[in-house]
Amino acid sequence: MTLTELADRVGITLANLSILKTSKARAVRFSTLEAICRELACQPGDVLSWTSGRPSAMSTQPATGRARRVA
Amino acid sequence: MHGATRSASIMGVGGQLSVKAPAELVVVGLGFVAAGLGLVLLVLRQLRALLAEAVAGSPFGARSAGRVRLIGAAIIVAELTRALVVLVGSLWARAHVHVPGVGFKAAFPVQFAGLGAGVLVMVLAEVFRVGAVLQRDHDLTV
Repeated sequence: MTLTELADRVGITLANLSILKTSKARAVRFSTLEAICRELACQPGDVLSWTSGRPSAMSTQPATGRARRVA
Repeated sequence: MHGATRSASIMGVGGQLSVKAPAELVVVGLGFVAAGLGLVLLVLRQLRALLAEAVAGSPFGARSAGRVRLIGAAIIVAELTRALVVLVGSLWARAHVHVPGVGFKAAFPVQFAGLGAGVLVMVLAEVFRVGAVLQRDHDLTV
């Protein structure tokens, strides 16, 4: 699945998906997170992580293992 | 009435007093006029930028709060400057204009309505500051 396809299926713009992918987002709607997990067949913990010492401590991580790979 | 004695007092006198101002006073006056024009242009420039941001999509840009704060400061400065001009004029008149029976008082007539308007605009700048924060959060909410 391409990023464009994922953005279309999730219902957000490619620009917003890019913001999410580069961990620049300040907030994520539950509806968006739900849609991402549905399309990637993963759990929220697969795409979110917390790391101390960063300006934006919460970041998005590429889905691993069980999730579908996005090009 | 025949035989009645009445007393009266002058409550006020109206009229116009024309005085030829010396060159240095004219120069000072022109300086105040130039400063006033500069302030007006500064405020117009900020208003134009605010309007452009609003037309572009949102009035809560990163620099909007600063612009509104500048407008508020300009209003306060304009009011204080106006009072200063009156003070300078009244001091000069007291020192150089001599009319029998007429005295001049030095005055610094600050209008609190004008100052209040400037303060109100400064408070509005805080609203724009919070608005800019909320706008940024909104823009980066996916």
